[in-house]
Amino acid sequence: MDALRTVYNDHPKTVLFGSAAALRILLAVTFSGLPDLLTGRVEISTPVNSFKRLQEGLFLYERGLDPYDGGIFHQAPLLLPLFSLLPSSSTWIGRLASILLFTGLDLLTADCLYQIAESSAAHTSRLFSSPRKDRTWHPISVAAVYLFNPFTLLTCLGRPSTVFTTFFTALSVSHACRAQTVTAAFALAIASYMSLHPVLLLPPVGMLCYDRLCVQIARKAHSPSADGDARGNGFNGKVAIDQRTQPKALAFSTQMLGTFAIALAFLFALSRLLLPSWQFIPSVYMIPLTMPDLTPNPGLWWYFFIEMFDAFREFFLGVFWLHMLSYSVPFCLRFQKQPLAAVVLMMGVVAVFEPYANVGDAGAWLSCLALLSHVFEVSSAHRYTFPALATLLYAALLGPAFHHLWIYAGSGNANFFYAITLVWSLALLILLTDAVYSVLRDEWEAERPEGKGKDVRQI
Amino acid sequence: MKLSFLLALPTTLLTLLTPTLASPEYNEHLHLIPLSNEYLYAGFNFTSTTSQSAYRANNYRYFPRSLGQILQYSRASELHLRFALGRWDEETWGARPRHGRREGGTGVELWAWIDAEGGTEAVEERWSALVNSLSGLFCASLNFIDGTKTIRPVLSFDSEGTSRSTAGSKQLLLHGTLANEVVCTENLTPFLKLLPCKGKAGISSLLDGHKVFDANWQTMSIDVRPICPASDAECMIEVQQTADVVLDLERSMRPRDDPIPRPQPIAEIECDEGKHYHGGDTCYPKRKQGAKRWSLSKVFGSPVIGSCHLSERNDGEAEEKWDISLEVPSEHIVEASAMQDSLTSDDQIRLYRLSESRTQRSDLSLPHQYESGSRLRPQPALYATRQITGHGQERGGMHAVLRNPHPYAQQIIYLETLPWFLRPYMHTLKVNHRFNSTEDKSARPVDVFLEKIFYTPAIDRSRATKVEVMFTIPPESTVELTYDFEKAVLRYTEYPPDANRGFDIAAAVIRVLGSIKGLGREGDSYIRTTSLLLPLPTPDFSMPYNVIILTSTVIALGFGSIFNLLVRRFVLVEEIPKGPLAGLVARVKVGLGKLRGGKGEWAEGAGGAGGAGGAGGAGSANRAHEDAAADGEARRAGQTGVNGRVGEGKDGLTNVERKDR
Repeated sequence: MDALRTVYNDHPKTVLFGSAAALRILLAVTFSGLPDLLTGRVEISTPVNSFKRLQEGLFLYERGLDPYDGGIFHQAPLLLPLFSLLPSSSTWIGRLASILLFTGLDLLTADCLYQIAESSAAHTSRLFSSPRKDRTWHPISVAAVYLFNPFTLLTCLGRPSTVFTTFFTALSVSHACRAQTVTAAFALAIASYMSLHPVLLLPPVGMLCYDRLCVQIARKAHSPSADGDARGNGFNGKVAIDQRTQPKALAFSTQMLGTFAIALAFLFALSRLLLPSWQFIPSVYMIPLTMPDLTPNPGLWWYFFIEMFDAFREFFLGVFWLHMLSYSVPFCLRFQKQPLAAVVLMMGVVAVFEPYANVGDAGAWLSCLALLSHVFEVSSAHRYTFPALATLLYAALLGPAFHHLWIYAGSGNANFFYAITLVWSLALLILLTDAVYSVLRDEWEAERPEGKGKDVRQI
Repeated sequence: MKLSFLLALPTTLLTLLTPTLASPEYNEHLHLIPLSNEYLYAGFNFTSTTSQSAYRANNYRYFPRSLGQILQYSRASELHLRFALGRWDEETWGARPRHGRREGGTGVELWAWIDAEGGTEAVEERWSALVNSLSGLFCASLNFIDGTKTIRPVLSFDSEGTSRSTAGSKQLLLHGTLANEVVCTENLTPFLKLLPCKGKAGISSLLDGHKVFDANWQTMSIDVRPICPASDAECMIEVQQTADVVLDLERSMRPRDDPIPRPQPIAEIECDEGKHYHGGDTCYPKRKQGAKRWSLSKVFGSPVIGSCHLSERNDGEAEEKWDISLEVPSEHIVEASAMQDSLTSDDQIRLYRLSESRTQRSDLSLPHQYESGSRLRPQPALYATRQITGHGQERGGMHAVLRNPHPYAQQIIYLETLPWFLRPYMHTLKVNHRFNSTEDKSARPVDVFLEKIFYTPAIDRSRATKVEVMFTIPPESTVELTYDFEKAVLRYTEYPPDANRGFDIAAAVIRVLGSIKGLGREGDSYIRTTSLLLPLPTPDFSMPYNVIILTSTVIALGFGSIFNLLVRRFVLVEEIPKGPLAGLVARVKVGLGKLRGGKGEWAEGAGGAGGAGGAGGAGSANRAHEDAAADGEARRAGQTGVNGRVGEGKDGLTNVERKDR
């Protein structure tokens, strides 16, 4: 026992990652039917990320057909050569290989989150330093929250391709936290290429990257004078920034956008080389926009567009997309001082409002919330976090039951599952607003320390 | 022998004969086979031809004008239209008539070769014109054969016609199915109107909707094809109309005015005297032995009226001078009334010719006979069944079983048209076989080598799935073809009114290639499985307004609360500027306090806080305020320093929290 504790104290990261990987592989090996069962669940697999549909696309691709000339496969083309390297997933070795791949992705994502948490971008930025920065969780806890989140765990076994999107998004954010503009933009381009919605993260990630770049330059400028004191002093925004040494915002955004566009063009060109036609662009990117496939998912769109009157379908598709778009810029403006919070909250908006919502995205976002762990106390003291979490649990447990009642037992109808998806979305939304409140309140309390713990109003 | 071969294959017959015929030609034929003892197969065949030049010049004689004009307009060179209902019971009835070449899957099936000039768009337009006009002509919902029900088979169908290929003319085969169409009398009437005698005379006078659609199995077909003789003689256009029915003798012979089956009067029942309880008051009905008594007029409701001999009488060896052929054992008694001519060939086929008179009523009747009426029917090439497996409305599997009863291998082509809302996973397609003789069911089935696969995946709401697989079934073995599929959820307007009944999936078409037996293209036979019923998950159809309202509410809630937080700024409760009303309320409260006597302090505190919850009296609230302010000062002071302030600030914080509670 003591030996274990010593090992844990010495190499916490190794132990954590090792146990997370072991848990995933053990689950897949012990319950050999579990991965395929989870792949079939509507909560995990949607038309745009289902592992089974990927297999179908792979089948067509390997036979030289255009996998996008049909209504089944809507995933990014570059997944095809990657998965054609793996053995066929109908055999146990193929299943194990895919589980290993997705476990690896999960570990890499957790590592990215670890680095993000370690970079202290959450509570300290160019213009702001949180009064609660000492309440931040240890990076290892953030990684552990991601790795042992049941939603993440089930998603890993269900093997949807959105895990790639999550990974590249996290990678992009972690590079942005290290002020590496080109790699951040490139990783975000890959994520957007995998599924459309990470494009919405471009403004906040760009802002984060710019912010970190300023901090880095400031730190460099200070380090010769106050070498050992960089952590205590250089980060304390108000002191450090020298306007002249700051990078030009325009040049920076040009660089970011340029890299993003070039990376996307490169990825598209690479995909075109693999495929016989450009058909993949409408097939991959128009599907989330027009939502022709109304397979149930835990989001808000599917039942709405099943029941929508034909004349208003296009109008409401436009409204729903505009609604999602409408958050990106306001978040950037309001969370100017805390760009990482803008990124995390935007991820939340995407997880709740995306057309093909799935538990994987929601789980990844819930884990990312741990990056904002310093404001949890505000949220728990002033908001409805406990009821929201309880509702989330309630929806997570009742969702599969109601889906069963509708589809298999026939004793319930579609409204059962619809109602539970509404509850799920509502719970996520409450958590999202709580997070927004906490971040804003934290920022306000940095200016008005006397307001801490008091009742406040918003006017 | 030659005769039976010709009767089984009227198409071959005509291919052989037409070269000698240059004038317009019409003939009709009825083929009757009693199947087992209770069923009667009746195959009607009406064929008319016209020369290509007359057809081009819109000069119609026996060829139906309405059909000819449609074909010319849509530039279809060959057309096959099928209306079918019921199931051919191959276990008891044996091989299908005409080798299955003149039957369709349940519902309507249509395939045509259309001039490909002008590209895909033009072909689709012509196809659309064709189905829409045929829809009007046959009173069927053929106009619903749109892109989602049309496929382009590659292997399954061959052109039956022989056309002289002119350079540059390319034909495109399109195939559409309508599995949910219920074939009915309204389709039979236009079918009869295409005939020169309009169903008023000749064997077509037997075709009565009441009887035809009461059959266990019935199929109507219309086939138009060009025939060009090998010599330089003129090309002909042939239209062949067939109607095949299998009638339940007992049901079809019920009197029309009293169709409800009733127990027979006791005096008419033959008792089984072998039973030990047989006596004067107990009777165990004896099973009827031998072939049933039947006659054309009873089975079809009326006798044959007159005849429809339009072409010049073709004497000699030509078989089409006979109107009716009946396949019964030679020892059977057949009473023919008012037939002009009859012939009994030695191999159990009797031929009859109707009289030339227009009003003569002719009939055939077979009295009850004790010898078994049916001879052994030939075995079908294959036995084919198809089912949907799995439960629930989310996903399922297709499972087709093809059994080869013959001691030789057979090469087949399996064609399926699937609607877009059934999403097959081709990577799960498995075809394996097991020998019929294998007793051990646990033996691992062997994979069948798939020689060719043509697969066109569906596109949502615009294209159907086509699967065409070519493989060989080993001798005396059973092949199982399986794959998984997923069921789509549709928009609520896309469901039919009877949404919970399910959706019809068209029959699979199986073409058994005859070439492997050396029979050539004419030896191919077709088998169609039954159509399937696919239940889809249904939404609640009464909910559109509720769903729009509820979902919008949730979205508005999120949007509202987030933007509410984003656009407003925080202020302490004490700093809220008091509105005029709040001042009034405070004054009233003060007044009330004074009335109660010296509790103004309390009233003031409450009024000032505007409902600050949980403050345990003015004193404590004030104290908390002071502490917090002091703490804030400490922190402000601490920010300029370097270290050690954190613990203090934190303590201060917990302090405040405790007091606040």
